[in-house]
Amino acid sequence: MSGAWTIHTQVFDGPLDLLLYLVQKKGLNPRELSMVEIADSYLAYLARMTELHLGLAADYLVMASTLIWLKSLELLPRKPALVEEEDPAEALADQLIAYQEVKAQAAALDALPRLGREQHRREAMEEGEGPLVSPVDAFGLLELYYAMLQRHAEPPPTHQVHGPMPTLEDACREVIGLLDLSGGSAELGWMLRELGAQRERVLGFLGVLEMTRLRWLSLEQRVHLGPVQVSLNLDGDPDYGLLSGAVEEEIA
Amino acid sequence: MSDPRGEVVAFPGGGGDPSLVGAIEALLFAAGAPVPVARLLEVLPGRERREVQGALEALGRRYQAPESGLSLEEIAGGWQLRTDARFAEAVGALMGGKTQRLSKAALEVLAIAAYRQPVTRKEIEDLRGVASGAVVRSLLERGLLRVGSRRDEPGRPLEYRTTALFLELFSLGELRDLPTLRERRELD
Repeated sequence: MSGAWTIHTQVFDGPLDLLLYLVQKKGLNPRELSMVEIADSYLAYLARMTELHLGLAADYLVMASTLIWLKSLELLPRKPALVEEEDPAEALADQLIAYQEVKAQAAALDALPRLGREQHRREAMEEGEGPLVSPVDAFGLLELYYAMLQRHAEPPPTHQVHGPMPTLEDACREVIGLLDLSGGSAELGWMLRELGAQRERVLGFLGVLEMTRLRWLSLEQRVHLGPVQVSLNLDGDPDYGLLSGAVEEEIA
Repeated sequence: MSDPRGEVVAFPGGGGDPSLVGAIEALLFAAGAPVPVARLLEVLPGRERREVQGALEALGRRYQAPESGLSLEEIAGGWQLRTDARFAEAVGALMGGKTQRLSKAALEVLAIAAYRQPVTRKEIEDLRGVASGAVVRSLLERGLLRVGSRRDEPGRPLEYRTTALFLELFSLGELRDLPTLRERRELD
């Protein structure tokens, strides 16, 4: 049954989501799936998504290959296994059932009265307690950054030797190392100067911004254009994978 | 005047010392955020926990009146004044219509973290079958997830947990108040 007028607005969050949708649409029990049937409808769906020029993430293709393999296991006679092995179809069913539970729990969360949706609270009062610890404004950071670049402008180099390009992760490790050395808190300008060459400083500055965004660090500035104090919010090492983690591949 | 259990109610209008009920209302209004009873006791010297509890109950009863636009809720280990859900639409419009939007992916990651915490990123991704770093990161930024400790297993992965802000967002008193799936099925 295919028609040019068939419109699917469903957007899937990955291959399991799509597979679960197909299983539920056919009213099947994940434990008693016919791999032939489900692999075929999964592949048909992928083909349709390709036709519609929806970008296909690699995860979908991995699932497709798993399904084709399972289908082949179902169709071809198998030598009796010498050792009791986990049934791969069983493993897939476990995964589907676990994901079904996650979706049910997500729906249960979504059904709760939500602050900002069903209920509202009074927003926090403007006045603070004690010394005003306001979040540093962007211009304060920018000024500091330019001041740092100018103060430490290096003389034009006669030779340029490029070492390995440091990454943002390296810079973040350096910043956290410096903070650890200074007992968890240090002044931003001092830290950037400690980082050495201009390239390291730029990366260090970006690292501080990124880690602040992830709430690993907090920034504090007591006076307008005053020194910016950076403090560590973490126990132990952070999950550096989050810094450069690939943007989640979603079919949008 | 007596209440249904036959006990003498000290003050008309639902019990509780009127000045204490008023004081607590003022404190909760000013705070906005949920205030734990311990914090109320700190700023109300000479008051006992039992009195404060009684006053909170009296205040809660008062907000149950049909003409009341607020409700008193036990949220994230404290007490909070919120607008009544009946007026959500008008209040939302007043606030500029910026409602808390959460994507399907964000809800799933929060559900995994809330019901199974502590969880690692790998456990989240195994359950969802899809890379979830970006979602975890945005939930960290929004303060709905936080980093716990490192798990003692190869790679020493970080563990994630939900925050007090998560409880506040989903109107939960504590994690034990998360709806069970059976409750959910009964609702359907």
